Amino acid sequence: MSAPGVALPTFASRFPHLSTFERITLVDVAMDVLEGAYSHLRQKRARYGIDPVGRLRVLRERAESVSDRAFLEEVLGVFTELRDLHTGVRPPDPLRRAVAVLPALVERYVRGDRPVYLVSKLAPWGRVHPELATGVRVTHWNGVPIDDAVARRAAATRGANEAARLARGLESLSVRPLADHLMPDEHWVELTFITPDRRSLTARLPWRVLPRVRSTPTGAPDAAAAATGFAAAPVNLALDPGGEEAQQAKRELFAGGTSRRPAGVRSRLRIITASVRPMGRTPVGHLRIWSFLHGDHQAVVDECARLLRGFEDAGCRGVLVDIRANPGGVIQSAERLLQLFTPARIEPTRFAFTPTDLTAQFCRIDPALRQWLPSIEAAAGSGEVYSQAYPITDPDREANGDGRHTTLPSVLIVDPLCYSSADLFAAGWVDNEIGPIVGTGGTTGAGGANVWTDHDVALRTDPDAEGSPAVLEGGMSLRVAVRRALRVRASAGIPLEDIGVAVPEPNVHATTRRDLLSGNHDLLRFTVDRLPERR
Amino acid sequence: MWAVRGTVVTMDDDATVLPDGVVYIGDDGRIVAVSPSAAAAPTGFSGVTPLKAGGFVYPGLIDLHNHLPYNTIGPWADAARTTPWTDHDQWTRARSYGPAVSHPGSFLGWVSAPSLMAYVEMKAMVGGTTTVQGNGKANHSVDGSVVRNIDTERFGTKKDFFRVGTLVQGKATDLVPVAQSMAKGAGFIYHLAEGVDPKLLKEWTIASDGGVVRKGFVAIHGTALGTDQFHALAAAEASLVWSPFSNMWLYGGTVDIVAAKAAGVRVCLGSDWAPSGTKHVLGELKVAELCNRAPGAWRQPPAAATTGPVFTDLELCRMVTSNPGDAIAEVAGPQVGRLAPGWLADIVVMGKATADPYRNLIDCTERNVRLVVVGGEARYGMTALMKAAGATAAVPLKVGSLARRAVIRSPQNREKFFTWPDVVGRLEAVRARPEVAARELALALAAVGGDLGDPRAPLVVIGDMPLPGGADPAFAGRNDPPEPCPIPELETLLHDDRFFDAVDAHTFHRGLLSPLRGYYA
Repeated sequence: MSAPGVALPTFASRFPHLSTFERITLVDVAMDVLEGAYSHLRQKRARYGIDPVGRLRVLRERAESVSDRAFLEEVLGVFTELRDLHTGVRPPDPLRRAVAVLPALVERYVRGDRPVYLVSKLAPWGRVHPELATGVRVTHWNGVPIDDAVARRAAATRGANEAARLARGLESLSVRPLADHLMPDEHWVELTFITPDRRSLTARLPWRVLPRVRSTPTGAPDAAAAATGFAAAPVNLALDPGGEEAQQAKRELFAGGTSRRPAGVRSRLRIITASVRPMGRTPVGHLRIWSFLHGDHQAVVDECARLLRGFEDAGCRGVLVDIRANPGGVIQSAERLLQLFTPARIEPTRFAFTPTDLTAQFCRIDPALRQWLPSIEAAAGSGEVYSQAYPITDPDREANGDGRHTTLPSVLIVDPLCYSSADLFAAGWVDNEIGPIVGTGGTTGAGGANVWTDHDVALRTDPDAEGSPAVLEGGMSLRVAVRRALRVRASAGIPLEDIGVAVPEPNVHATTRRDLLSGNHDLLRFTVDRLPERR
Repeated sequence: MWAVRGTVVTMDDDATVLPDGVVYIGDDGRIVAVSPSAAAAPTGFSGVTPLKAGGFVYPGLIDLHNHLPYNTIGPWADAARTTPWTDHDQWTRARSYGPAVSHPGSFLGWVSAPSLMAYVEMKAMVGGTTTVQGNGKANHSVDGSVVRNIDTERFGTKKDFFRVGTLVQGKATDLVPVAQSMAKGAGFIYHLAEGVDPKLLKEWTIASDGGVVRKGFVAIHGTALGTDQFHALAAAEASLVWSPFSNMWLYGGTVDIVAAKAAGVRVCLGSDWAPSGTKHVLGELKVAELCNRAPGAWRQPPAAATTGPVFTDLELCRMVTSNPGDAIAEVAGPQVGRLAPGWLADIVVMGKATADPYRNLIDCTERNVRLVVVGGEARYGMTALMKAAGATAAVPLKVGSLARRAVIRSPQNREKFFTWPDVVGRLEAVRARPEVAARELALALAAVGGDLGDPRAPLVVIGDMPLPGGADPAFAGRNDPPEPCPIPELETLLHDDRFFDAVDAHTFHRGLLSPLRGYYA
């Protein structure tokens, strides 16, 4: 099988050129938006001791004199420091949707107290060494002990907490969306592994670049619709686009054959797969939600409701709702699903702005944001650092309008890679007491915000007003966490950003070798053991 | 509401001409309808008898490049320079530039701004100009004027449509804020690559890198640009303002107009300024036509046999009407440059010298200008037509031997009107005793503590051309009025023998400008 995409050296020769205008405007917009609208700026400054705006100001002075690559790397550095996957710059093509990939996916499990790394998946074009195969243990990466190599990669990622950084660092060994990561310096990786008969061998894996991995929501308003006005372009995304691209790339590279499933549980949406898994005497339904990036949230609700009915028809005794590595998407696509699993009324997550002249302008211009305005205006006198918080998902019509669709008990499975709308889903699951939560790490990815693009900002500002941010050109865009998410009910007011949703210690499953090589066998069994009895 | 009847030359995309047409003008100063006189009048105009203007009715002419505050000064040539200049930074360092051009222009702007503005704008209007660019920076908002000034024109809104740059920026970073404004819809009128030295292409690189080459960009001069740059301008839907007289006067060569046309660039005309230009775009149109006959000869160095004509008469006429109008429309929407419903009633009526309307406009001189209307108001014209148009505030003035009437508003108060003797008298008084004018200004400024922003401070206009040595007058000693200096004799309103004699005496243009006299014979 021929290798996908293009060789890294070929891709690198197409590095984009940015004019002085594009560079300075990028820096200006980033400074304006971070200072004027970034909801976590105060929190990030305090937590990480950083000054992103100051760093950008310095870069602005040097903008004309540095190389394209150095400039974009410095911009990337500024946003990496934020540890916020919501907030960052999407560079121009060809970097924008490109993902650098290796043919071998390395994953980690724990044996005793020690992490073990193995090749969990190997793409057909990656059989570059006759003895490199799935299951071999990895010891070195480019000659660096694998633990250290992962730690270095983790430090270069934007994960919001240690677990998330580790997970993303591991993933980025072999899958790097180039909008979020530096292009690999090396053209190939020397992977040292131990064969089953305990010989140490080294294979050379070439980097390839998939040039265009899609991450725009299906069923969502496109750019042309967005241009018609904010009514056609609602600001309801909570997403890590790089995570979406990484996931898409992994699916493209490592997808296995399709399993046979009853017709009733064959998903009609790309973002969901469903299967009935035999687990002892009675099967369970496995609802895998890969992403919430689907603009037609009613379609997502309807499809999940249909799949849940399929599980009931198949005689399942429970449902495993699996959102591992889900990078988020449309907020309503996540929050509206919660009601399907419970008879209780769902209280959706709330969101708050940071009160500034710019956010006040958003709320004056877009009628859908009007309820936030009084507290933003009042903050000037009260000294409040956040506005009042309101839900984005309509509590009656959306969060509870469809009601319960299954009486099967359910368990949620998360990991440190699930992010944003997936964090919201997990928080809603826990806060509304829908069922147990199980994780392969101690928390979710901890991305708690509604993310806007620079076009969303421009649409809600008066271009003639002093200080209104410019709009990026040259195929670049900027995403920023504009409204911070706050949990509800017993956790009311606790932010999700940097904290995420904690998994109770007894429900944390240490990934096993069998999980990695045999379809999460132990994880699913661990989870099934935590299914409540059907009432 | 009123109406003008004549042969209506709309300058629309189809080049529609109504042999006996009527332009109906609403009370808001905009055109309500343009139709054959035999057609029914639009609603509300049934009792209106169209004014028979007796000629071709054109959109008012647009001069998209000027430096008005210097237009009392006649053609200037530095006696010490015997060969054409090669770039725009050279002649501002000439010894005579300060005393002959920069100082007197600046001084008049400080000590007699209202009269100066009235004089130079009237000079534009006698050539049928209704919209002009380049009125300098004023310390107060200007409420009234003779012609429409695009630099400060708001078209009934509160928007600041155009940014203007006369001095070339040396770094792309300095242009970025302007480009950011342009990205939000502003326009930018900018001097670019003026001269014939190939090194001037660096200015293009800076402009392009700074992001201003985009929709809404109006590049002035561009004499050093080539095919690649013209294609880039056209792709960006930007415009080029061509000032052939000034180019030939200073550099002995002008734009590669053949390449510009081939690339599809929107070309507009500008008369630049009196020290090196024609008196208005009606004069510049003739220079464009002269160049159009043999454009290769007008290059510096002259190009091998590029014969004309490159442009049709219609295309030449578009350079002073619909082309600059479209450049403005890119930023401000439909306003000027065409005769069509909804557009501003900026109109010029020219007598019929020939049957073809475009040939006629090229051949017409100030003598043929019968009536000029700005925003629906008759501002200048023959006495009978001005009276018929209801211009009650119009005052008489002599334009050479022509008797005309004009509405001359005070720039500070649109309800206050000047007479022509007021205007000329004040300027002549300053010429006669500049030190007295300087002292009066000093006293007036002292009364407000030197604060030009104080509403009681006199109106001051600061010219936009470089000071001797190239400094920007807007920054260099902004609050320090220039020292009194001798003021040259006021440049006349007409292209006359004094002007043509000066043209013939100048050698940089290799005699190519001298045939201009023939249009005025």
